[in-house]
Amino acid sequence: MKRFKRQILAGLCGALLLTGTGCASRTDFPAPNTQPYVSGGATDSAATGVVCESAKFQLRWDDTEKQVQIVDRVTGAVWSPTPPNTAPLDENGEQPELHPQAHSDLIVTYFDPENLEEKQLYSYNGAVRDGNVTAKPIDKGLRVLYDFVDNEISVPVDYTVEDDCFRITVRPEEICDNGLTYVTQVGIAPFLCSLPNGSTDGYLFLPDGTGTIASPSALSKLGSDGSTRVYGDDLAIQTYDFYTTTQNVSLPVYGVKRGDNALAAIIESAPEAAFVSWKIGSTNIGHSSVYSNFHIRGYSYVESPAGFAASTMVVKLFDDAVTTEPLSVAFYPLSGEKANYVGMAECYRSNLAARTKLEKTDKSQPSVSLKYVGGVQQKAFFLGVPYTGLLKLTTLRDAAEMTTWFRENLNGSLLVDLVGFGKSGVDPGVVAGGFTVASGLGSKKDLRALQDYCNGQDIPLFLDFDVVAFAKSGGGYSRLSDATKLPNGQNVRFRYYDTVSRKGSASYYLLNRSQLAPTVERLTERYADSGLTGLSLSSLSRISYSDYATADAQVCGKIAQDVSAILAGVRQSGLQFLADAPNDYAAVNADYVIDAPLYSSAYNFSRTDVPFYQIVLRGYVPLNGTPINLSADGDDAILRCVESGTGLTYVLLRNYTNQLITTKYSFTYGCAYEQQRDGIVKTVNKLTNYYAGLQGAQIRSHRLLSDTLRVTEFDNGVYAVVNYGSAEAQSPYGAVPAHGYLTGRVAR
Amino acid sequence: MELKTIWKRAGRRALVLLLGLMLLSCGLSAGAVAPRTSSLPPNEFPYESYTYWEDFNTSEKQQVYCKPMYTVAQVLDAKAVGAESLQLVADVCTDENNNIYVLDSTGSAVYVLDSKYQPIRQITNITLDGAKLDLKGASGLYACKNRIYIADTDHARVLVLGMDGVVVDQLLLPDSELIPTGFEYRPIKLAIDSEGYTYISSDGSYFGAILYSPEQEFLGFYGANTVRASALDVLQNLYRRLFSNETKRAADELSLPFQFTDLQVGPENFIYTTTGRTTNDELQYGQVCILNPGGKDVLSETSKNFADVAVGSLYRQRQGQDLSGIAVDADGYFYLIDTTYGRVFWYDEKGNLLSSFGGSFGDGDQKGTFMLADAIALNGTDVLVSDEQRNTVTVFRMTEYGKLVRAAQSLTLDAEFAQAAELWEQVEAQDQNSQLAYRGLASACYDAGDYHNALRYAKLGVEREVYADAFAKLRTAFLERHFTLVFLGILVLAALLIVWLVYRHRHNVRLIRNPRVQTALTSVFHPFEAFRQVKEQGLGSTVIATVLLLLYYVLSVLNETAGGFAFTIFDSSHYNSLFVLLGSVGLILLWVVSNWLVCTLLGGIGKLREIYIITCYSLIPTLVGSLTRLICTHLLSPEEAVFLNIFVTACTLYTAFILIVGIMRIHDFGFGRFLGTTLLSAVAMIIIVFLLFLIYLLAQQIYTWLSTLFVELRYR
Repeated sequence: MKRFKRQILAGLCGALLLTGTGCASRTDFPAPNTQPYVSGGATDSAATGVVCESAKFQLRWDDTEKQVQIVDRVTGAVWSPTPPNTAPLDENGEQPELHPQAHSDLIVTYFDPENLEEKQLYSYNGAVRDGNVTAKPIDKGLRVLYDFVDNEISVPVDYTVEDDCFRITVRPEEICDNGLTYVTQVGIAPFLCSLPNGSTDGYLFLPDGTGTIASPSALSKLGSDGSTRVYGDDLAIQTYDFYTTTQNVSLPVYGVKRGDNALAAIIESAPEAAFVSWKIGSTNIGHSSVYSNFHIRGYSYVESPAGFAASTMVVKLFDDAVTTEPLSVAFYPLSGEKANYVGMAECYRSNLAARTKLEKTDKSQPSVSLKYVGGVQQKAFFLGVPYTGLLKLTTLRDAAEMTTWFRENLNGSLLVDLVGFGKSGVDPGVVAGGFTVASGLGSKKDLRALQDYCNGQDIPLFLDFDVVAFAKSGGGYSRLSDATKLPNGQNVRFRYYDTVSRKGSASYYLLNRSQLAPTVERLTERYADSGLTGLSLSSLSRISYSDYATADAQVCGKIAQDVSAILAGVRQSGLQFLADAPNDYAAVNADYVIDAPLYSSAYNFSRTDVPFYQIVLRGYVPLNGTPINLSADGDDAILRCVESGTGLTYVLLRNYTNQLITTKYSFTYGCAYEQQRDGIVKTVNKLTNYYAGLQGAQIRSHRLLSDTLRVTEFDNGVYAVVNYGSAEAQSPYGAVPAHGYLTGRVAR
Repeated sequence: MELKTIWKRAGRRALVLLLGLMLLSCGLSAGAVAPRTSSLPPNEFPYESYTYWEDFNTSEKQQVYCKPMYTVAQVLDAKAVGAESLQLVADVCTDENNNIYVLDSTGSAVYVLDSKYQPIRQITNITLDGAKLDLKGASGLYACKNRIYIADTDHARVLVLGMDGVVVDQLLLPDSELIPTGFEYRPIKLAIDSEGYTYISSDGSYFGAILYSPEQEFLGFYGANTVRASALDVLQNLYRRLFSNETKRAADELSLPFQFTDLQVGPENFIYTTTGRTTNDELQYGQVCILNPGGKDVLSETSKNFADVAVGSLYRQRQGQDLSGIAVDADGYFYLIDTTYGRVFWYDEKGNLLSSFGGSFGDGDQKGTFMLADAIALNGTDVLVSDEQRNTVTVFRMTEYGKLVRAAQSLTLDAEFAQAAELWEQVEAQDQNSQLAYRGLASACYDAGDYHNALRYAKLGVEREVYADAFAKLRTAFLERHFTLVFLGILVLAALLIVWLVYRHRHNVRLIRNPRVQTALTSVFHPFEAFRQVKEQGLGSTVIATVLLLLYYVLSVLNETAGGFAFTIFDSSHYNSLFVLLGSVGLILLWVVSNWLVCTLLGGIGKLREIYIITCYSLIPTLVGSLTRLICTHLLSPEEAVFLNIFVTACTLYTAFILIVGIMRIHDFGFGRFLGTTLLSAVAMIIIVFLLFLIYLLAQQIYTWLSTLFVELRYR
């Protein structure tokens, strides 16, 4: 009986402990929220007229129209969140009214608890038309309060003018709602960067991938209405609807060119929470625009239970807290020669340099960077018993042999990046691949031999580690305690989703944001004196994710700040940092960049791609592009590299086996070293002189001579003319062969 | 230590080992994952280009990414076709001069572009007897010889118009006895062959296409789809006929063939047809037919699944593919459009998939993706796909790589292997995932007498037929080269064996002195005597029996996983040794327990241990057969396997014989009683499996309840 009692007691204690684990709330830190809504919060409003002035701008308020206008005192250009009504007169000789969306200075998205879905409010319909807008002067500007009375939501927006720009700011914690219909997103000045449909003297610029410009042509009644998250999708949100491949928005900047004027919009604060959104080609609205839309609350998707009446329903479960950072976009008017995407790039670079450590580089531009793939995980069998094993694709000895061959046969400089050499190969296993090279891929001695060779030949050698995704506990990390949390306290389990088979595969975890710095520090300590040139932390360079167990990390908060600090630590240890398709915050901390985007997402509205990314960063960090041999059209990718002065990149593996097709990496179809090496040498050697001449050069100008002919001029006199057409073309520098290029240098 | 204790311990160890094996078998790997944090980016296209490998480790097709063979050249919108706006692009087609025709059904207009995609004509006023026609609901378009044919679905007619938009003729529902009563005429697609015969597919018609002569006379129905029926369907039908009454029969659902969703004229006036979605939950087969002038399907691929193998889910609901269009080029290469996922599938004339491209669904706001792709046409090698939601026509253009693959495959199909080899080598250099390249190179090497490389490429491309042929050639060559050596070797081995046997007989040499091992081995040739010893002298060994059982499991696994390449199709994606374990060890144990339970009740005197021993001993011939098979699959070609199969079957039958003898001996049964108890044992086996299944379900419920409880407690 005693034993039985003891067992009951032990059982009760166990249950109590289990219950206790659920008591650990994620809110161990302050969780700011919006303010309670008070009806008629503001009644007094500023009078019509000039509210304030800076050296360059004049801020005006029109109390009748409830509208802000910013006048450029130098050029006389007027910028307003509401675009000028250029619609032709109708049959009655009257000008049709602007569409309410185009008339709105603000888009507010709120959660409707009745329908469990998000709905949008446009400031014109929801507040301006009813006169529920008040303005109050503040320091350097004006605070406009948009009061959506019917929905019990009010949003104060600050318009301020500086000497070189004007700024629009919303502070999430100052937004008021009734707590039930709460605000989830705020779209700032949706039609400030806009053009009337059909206008031919301008374009919209979107930082999609390498950068793209869009013509405001009428597409359909609804047009193209979409958005893409700055710095990439939040990986903490499991999505089921990414059916197509899109490129990252790595630079938080967009803009519009209108005739001789242009406006560069830079998301200065809370870019992690921002989406670059667009409304293009809608015949209903009549205008096309690009703007920033901020998510102020994190969320996770909650699946409805199986058999539930609405079985396809997925509900967004929003976090209680709102993002702590102000939502701020600075608008820089440009004019004359600067009123184009090159001017926007220069403007953005200046802004970036003022905020970060962006400096000109003294490193040489590698003609080619070579990514060697160590291994991938694969299902294997021992006597019919399945297990997950490492499919060895390239060993360290293979890497040494390949590097030696390339060094002996290539004229230009090269860079080597070892990816997937950790314990689980390219796939997530234990955190950072166990911080070491998998034993099956080579020993410390092999690594040392490779390092010695590379150091002797002046070849930068980097070892890549995935410090974000992990699938197993181990190495001091636990799946339970070290994984990123959702707003409801559960671990984020990101499921790989194959867009072809439309099936989810095994899930993996994301490392808790607070663990990122110690993990990279551990890596740094381990390899600081190893002889490696540096580390490549590809996952850290280009992804962002929220963590609701870490302060300020909701809605991807402070990812730029955190990663910048981490990377600064890497460089302080003496190791260099190789960034992989980096977002701006990683690029400014990088010694080298590979996988720099060469393409955009090919939206239907896109007129053409422009090398905006390269215009911003070239000369400040050596850039190598996305892998030529994984490109859909390698020749086209090479032309894009030449056009933007971006070095080439190839992904290689030594031991191809058709077993690779059973892994998720069957897209590495053109990576076998034996088949690729001669082609690589031929291509790279042809371009060696061109890249040698680009040492530290910035792109001074980039012009579209026709749909298929482009000229890039660098500040050291080097030029490249690229012809994407199928016929020879004439350029100011001479004839350019079809699908070819012409490079040279003019004295400056 | 007492013998009993030793046995107990050995039994326990065996049990632990078996349990361990079972647990390991259950421990399936997580599978490889390509996370978005990976440092390997896929190419920059919005959509995927991929193909399927046939016969690779699996009975299903293996989806493999490939180098893109088509890229988007341009997207034609209203402006590009010369229209103010497009309201509903219902179809697109090309004529013999490669002029392109776009049907805007709601806008009641046809737009004509030249082969360079420059607008040349807008037919916005389509008239019949001077009255403007409303084409709302029209869904098919065909153009040839300066005539435009519009399948005006909702108005039950096919309009024939001149380039000026004036209707010159109409094809209405013919007045014929061949038309079934209640037939609803709703033409959706049409095609006209070079002889002038018109084929019209009507919505809801399961009789096939409506055929008109060049003189516009109705000739009858042409090439209906057939209904796939399983054996169960046939039995059900039979049952219904026999036992059903009129009322029940009237309420039954009738399985009817599916209608054609599109039809096109191919080379030699063969008609290529597609069938759309038949079900959401199953894979679909035989959706493409190539009908000869007699209406017979010459492709005969009724068991072939075209388009995607996976029934994926879209918006979190299972969605089957739906082939809505087909286009055929002059060489018989055909293209299919799957309207569910907006993908184009490109096949050669034999039905080999070259590549899939485009689509990926979504909002269709990226070039090459669609919101609702519905029609497909060809302009030379350009592929035109219309999107009736976006009201656009996307032009896909063949890449240099695509041209290379097409040329190489055409040469291979024409048996021009030497010329094809050069091209295939270029293909392989660019895409190591090209099964067609490996197969082409294997055939080329075989044709050139380079059997070593033929073997290598055939293995890479999983071409078992060429592999077997090349293997046979190499083996023959080897034997020819080393005939003397091989012959002498066999003679020497035979001589040594004879010497050994004679020596053994004269000197009474006994290699194996352990009586238990001797009994086990004797059971093969002298089962009566051996099992008598097991029963009466206790010379059976549980350890030996367990070792034999494990060998049986191991050989079963090896035969499935490590057999010769030409013989073995190992499905690594679905393989689970747990099932082999259940099918070998589990079945034997189940038999042993059932037989013991039944025979104990029915007067059998055999003990559990004895049944186990004789059952395992009787496996020895099967083990020999299995081992022989394993070795021979590495030495023989499949054509020579008939003798091997006979031998393996004989071994299995001999195993059954030994088992019968053993069971009769240890239970002291006659044959009749043996037969009875065996039947009852089989019934007992079924009952045990059923009970185990129930226990499993119960355990699963408890586990789910506990895990839910744990999660709830943790996240409260």
